[in-house]
Amino acid sequence: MKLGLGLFNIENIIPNDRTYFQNHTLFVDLNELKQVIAADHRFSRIEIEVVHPGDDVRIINVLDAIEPRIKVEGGEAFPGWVGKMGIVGMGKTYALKGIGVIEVGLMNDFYGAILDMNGPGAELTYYSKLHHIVLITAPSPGINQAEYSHALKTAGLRASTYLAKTSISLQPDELRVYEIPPLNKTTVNMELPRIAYLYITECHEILKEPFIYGDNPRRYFPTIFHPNEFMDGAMVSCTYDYSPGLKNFTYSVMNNPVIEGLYDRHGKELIFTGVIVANAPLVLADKKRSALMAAKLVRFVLGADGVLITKEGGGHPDIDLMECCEQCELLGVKTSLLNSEMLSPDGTGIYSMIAFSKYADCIISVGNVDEMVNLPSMERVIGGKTMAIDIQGPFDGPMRIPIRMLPNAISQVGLTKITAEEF
Amino acid sequence: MESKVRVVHYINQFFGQIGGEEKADIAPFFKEGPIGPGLLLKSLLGEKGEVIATIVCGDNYFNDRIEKAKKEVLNLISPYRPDLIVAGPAFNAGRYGIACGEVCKLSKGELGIEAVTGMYTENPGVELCKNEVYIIETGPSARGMAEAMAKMVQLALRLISKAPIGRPQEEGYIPRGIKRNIISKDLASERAIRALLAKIKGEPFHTEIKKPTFDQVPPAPPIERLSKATIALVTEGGLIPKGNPDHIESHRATKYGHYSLEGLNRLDPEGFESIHRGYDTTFVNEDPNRLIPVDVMRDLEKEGDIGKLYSYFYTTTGVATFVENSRKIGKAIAKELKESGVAGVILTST
Repeated sequence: MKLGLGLFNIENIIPNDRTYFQNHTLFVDLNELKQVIAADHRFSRIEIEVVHPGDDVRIINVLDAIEPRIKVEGGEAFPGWVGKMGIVGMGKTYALKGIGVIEVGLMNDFYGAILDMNGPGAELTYYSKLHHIVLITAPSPGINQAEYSHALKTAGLRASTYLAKTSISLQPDELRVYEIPPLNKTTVNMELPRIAYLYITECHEILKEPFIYGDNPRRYFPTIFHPNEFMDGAMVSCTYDYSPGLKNFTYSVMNNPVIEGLYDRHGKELIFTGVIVANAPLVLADKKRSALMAAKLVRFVLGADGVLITKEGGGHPDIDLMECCEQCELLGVKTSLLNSEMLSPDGTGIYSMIAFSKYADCIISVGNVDEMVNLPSMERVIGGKTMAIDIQGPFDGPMRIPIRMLPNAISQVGLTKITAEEF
Repeated sequence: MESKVRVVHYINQFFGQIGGEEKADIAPFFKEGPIGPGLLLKSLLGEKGEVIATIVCGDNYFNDRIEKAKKEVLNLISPYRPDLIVAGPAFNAGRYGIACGEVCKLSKGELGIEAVTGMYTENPGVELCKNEVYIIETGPSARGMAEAMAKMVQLALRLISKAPIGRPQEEGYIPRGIKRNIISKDLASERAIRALLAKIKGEPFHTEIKKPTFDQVPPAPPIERLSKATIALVTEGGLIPKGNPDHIESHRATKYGHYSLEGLNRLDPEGFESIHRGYDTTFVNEDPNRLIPVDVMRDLEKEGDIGKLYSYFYTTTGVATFVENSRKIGKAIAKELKESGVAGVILTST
């Protein structure tokens, strides 16, 4: 599978009476964008804001971030949602780098994040370094959580497509080629270690799961994916009721740093053999079966010597992480895991996770989700007056919140340099 | 000019130049000024501090009667009103390490005085006090005295001046079991890939999360006569009387509640609901008996399979709860049930 990914570096977003892209600046007709997403009876209200890195702005109720991408050849991005169904990861895709589309909304049990565009909070999350189109929404009366979450995701993806469309006839700043042929056609040095990536999705219940090709991941057996598929939005986040520190935002799935890191080394230090997606079932016997199936694919189909394993969510997916680790190691595949830690606000907790395998001898920490951070006051707050979870306003004043409330400051796919170290 | 830091130094009989093993039973006593390694301590402190007294105590004396010895040492230290206690270093001497650890904990806990000690990593004193006290990591023997004492003094002066304390490897102390978030040089994904490649090549690699030691709880002996026993229902599934009278948290709970089952043959959805945020509560809210099976327990009671159902059920929410809180909640519930004569518990988990 071969994908040309054209990158357009965007340095500013300016509201305008016409939407176009020129000289690294994205001009956006916000009224037109609003029309694109507002024709959905499930919203009672939509406002669109533009924010920039360094703005004295705090965004609350942040539910997801998406990088605008569009396919120029080879199908449509976000298949099964706004793109028509088809296998993605081939042809050519354009990506608008440096910007994001942010979904904001509030309903009972929704678990939004807090994004500061300036100050110490902005040092901790990647998304503070992007220019954003912020979609601030409210549900129509009588709409349930599932309907609202579907409306939010559709709006976020439609807005992304609308913005990315501006690039379609232009020349990207950079064209990257992502290509890994089927294993029997590989031309790289076969002496290199063969490395697979095992991605465990949360699949807890509605609002606590991603969607893959438009479907929720509760009924999958572990499946092999080509890494390119994620770059075209084959998987999107729908984890609207989930601690922001423990979910993988769509942006981080499209730009998964584990996939990028393995691609960078492909043919030089290793052979990237592919991605297995497994879920995190709710019954122990199912977890064990899923881990066995995943390990089987890693070892006997991809023929891997080593596997990186990441997961989404906290608590019970720790068991899947450990079961997968154990089954891979038992088949002779070396493992390296990424995980967050739950160590209480002062870092004195002794159980980082709820399950632990004696085979898990290599775990990279993406930080203690419970550690408190102090945020200064902000001139402007957008995204509402209240939050559904137990964090009280006023939100424009100084706040002391757990780091898990900052979107992907703790990122279980490694989109962060934060780690927890013993002192 | 700042006043000098007033230091009391704690050492054992050997470093106190009283004698070896044969003098290990000597009771604690004090002497004004430094003795033995205290002279090194004095010179390292220089103008910044002063060793006002040395407490000497035999290692056997201390370890054979820890509580008594602690009190005696405390009584010797308090009149000096020092700013700092320096204990040891104890290197790999186990009993000396225990004494140093206890003295440092005492100083911090009872007197509110900063304390620093030094030990070899395998000294049993490390586990005793590393969570509360800074321990400079030393070699196993007194050959490393100069280096150990220099690091102890440096760290102690930083503590006194409330300067920020750096990482263990920078300051030379043994990690205290407290984890803090820091910004690493590289993305987590990069570290994970590098570690994996090293592991495959058989090269050294570094795990950032070590396996914790899990508690092993021996099961209670079997109930002798179930037909006479009182059985209680306990859940972490977050079932509460509507209105949540005790304000139990919906996640990361710090509280539990107990609610009467007196006169109830089943739990009605009009009266009870689950506030738990970690599972789909639809079925429990439709029929709370599926979480707290009062209906079935009443049948068993009638049929004589159990003596009786305890008249309260206990509940909390088990989702993202800190283990330390879970332990506290569990212990408290167990104690109350035990005191009420409950012989067995059915724990329903979600």
